[in-house]
Amino acid sequence: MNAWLYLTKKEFRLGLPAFLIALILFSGVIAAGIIAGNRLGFEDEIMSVTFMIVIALHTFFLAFYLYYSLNTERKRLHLWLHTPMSIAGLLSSKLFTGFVFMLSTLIISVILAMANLSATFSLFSQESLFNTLGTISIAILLAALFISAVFLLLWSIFLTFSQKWNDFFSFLLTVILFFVSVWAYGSFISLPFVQMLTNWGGIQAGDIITGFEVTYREEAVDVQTMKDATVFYIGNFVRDLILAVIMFIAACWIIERKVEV
Amino acid sequence: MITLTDVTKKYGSKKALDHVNLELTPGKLIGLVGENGSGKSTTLKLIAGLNYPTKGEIKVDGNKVNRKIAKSVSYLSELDEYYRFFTVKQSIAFYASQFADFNEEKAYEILRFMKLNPNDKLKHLSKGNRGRLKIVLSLSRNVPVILMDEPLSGLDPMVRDSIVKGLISFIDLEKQLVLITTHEIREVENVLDEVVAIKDGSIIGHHNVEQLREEKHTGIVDWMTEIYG
Amino acid sequence: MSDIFQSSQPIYQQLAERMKRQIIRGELSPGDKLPSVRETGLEVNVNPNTVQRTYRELESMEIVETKRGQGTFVTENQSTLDSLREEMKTKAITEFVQGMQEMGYLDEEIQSGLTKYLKEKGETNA
Repeated sequence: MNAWLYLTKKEFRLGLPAFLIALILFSGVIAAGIIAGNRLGFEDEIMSVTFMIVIALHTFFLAFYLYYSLNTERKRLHLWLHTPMSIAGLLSSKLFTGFVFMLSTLIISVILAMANLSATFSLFSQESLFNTLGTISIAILLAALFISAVFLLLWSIFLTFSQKWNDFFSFLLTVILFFVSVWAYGSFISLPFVQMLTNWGGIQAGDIITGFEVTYREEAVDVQTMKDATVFYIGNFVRDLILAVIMFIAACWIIERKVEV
Repeated sequence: MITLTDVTKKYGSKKALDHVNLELTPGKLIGLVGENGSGKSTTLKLIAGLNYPTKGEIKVDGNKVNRKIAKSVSYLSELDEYYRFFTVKQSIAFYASQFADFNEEKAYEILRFMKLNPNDKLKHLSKGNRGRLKIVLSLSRNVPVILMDEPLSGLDPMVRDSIVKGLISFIDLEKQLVLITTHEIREVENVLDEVVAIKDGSIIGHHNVEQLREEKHTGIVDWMTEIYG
Repeated sequence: MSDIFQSSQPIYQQLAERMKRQIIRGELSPGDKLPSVRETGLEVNVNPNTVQRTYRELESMEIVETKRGQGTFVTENQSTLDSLREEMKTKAITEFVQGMQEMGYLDEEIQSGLTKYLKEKGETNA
């Protein structure tokens, strides 16, 4: 455990540049929002959109972070892999540090967005704003973890390919494999039988937004249809979680067995 | 104790090692010599569990080798790559945290011997001092097997001398087996117990160096010239 | 550093020879503790295993003796040291004379040459 903590300390230092790059990007987006707001008017509205963009960008932060960190290790695999620690230990350390970095900017972004939105749109109640942003944040965190698991698996496959072929060809092959898998997985989960297994524990998206209908009573019918269309299933979430874990384990297995220095 | 039994290693269609059989016993400093691309680095990586044989079997102390053998094997790569944000001191602390057998006291002893400053950042170290630090890190572990890939190459004579002296001073020849690949044979020929010559992926000779001198009246360099012909 | 030793001869023998000379020259006196195997190895850039073999070799000739837990010491047995001195002398003379003879010098020439050389050397030193 102590070894993992020291490793994690190293990972924080190793991944710091990726975090800084993300910070600069986020700042850039916000700066662009401020400038656009000044030029075009609607400052508050534009800023709200800006913060939403920044929050949405977090979806890809973890995968980007892992890309940066693993790409740095790729040049010195002999250092990274020459350790008694399991690959799961090595990767989880990177995931953890990336997650902490991500959380720190996500929380700040959400707070800024919340302050901005509650000042701009009086139609949201404090409660529904909190619910909405909370749900979005959790959804983003989960999506980020899922995308990271996909990335780790692809990276380990790419690395295995790259031992035989050059980087370009390996990349191409990995991308093709990715799309084929996405297609296969998509077909699989839309099978009626699979849907029956996974579509349970539905949550109405609209339930989160309380106090919304009051203001928009005239359009209640439309809102109703929107609400119906947007149903999240906890079953789907569990399905994706299981898939993410399987992908993580597969990535570990591939790096352990197939990747050579 | 390291044993390679009928080991073949292919990269794609290229054979790096071809049916190699080798047995190395502890308590010795063994030199693995040969031309570039003859399979020296591959042999070391295979023993370190960082590469896997296409065919055959490798064992260290009776255990079949995989990546986890890092527990009893200390591997020093020929690459000049580090976590450059560390200071010398932080590197030592990091290694100490990752390897249970890492002896920090010994590390600082070797550090002093090599005249390295613990507070220097790795990115500011000269190439020679980076080479020295690698030695510090790999010799400070109490492991049965130490593998060193070209620890002397590209370094100036002063540094090479300090590294050779470091080997003499800090290897525990009661227990440890040190396998070292090098081009600078003259520099190490007096410190080697055994020499293994490799050519095009095959072992073409394995001798006790003193025996070579005693029976054939020849040093390693002349012997190599002879067998490489 | 490698130039101390010839690479075509066993290092342990060359090192033994070197240490015998040190003893005869008095650099190592009877009863002196020899440096540890590692220290000697470091001094002459030689594998400690080889140094160990040298020490064993010298021990078998009774020139040094190992005391348990204390180290290796030059023998205090004067007769052993005397015969070592004698042996080294004979060896050096043998080599010298063989060299001269190979070049075709006669015994008398060698002898007179040596006497003359020593006399002249004695004068310059005086």
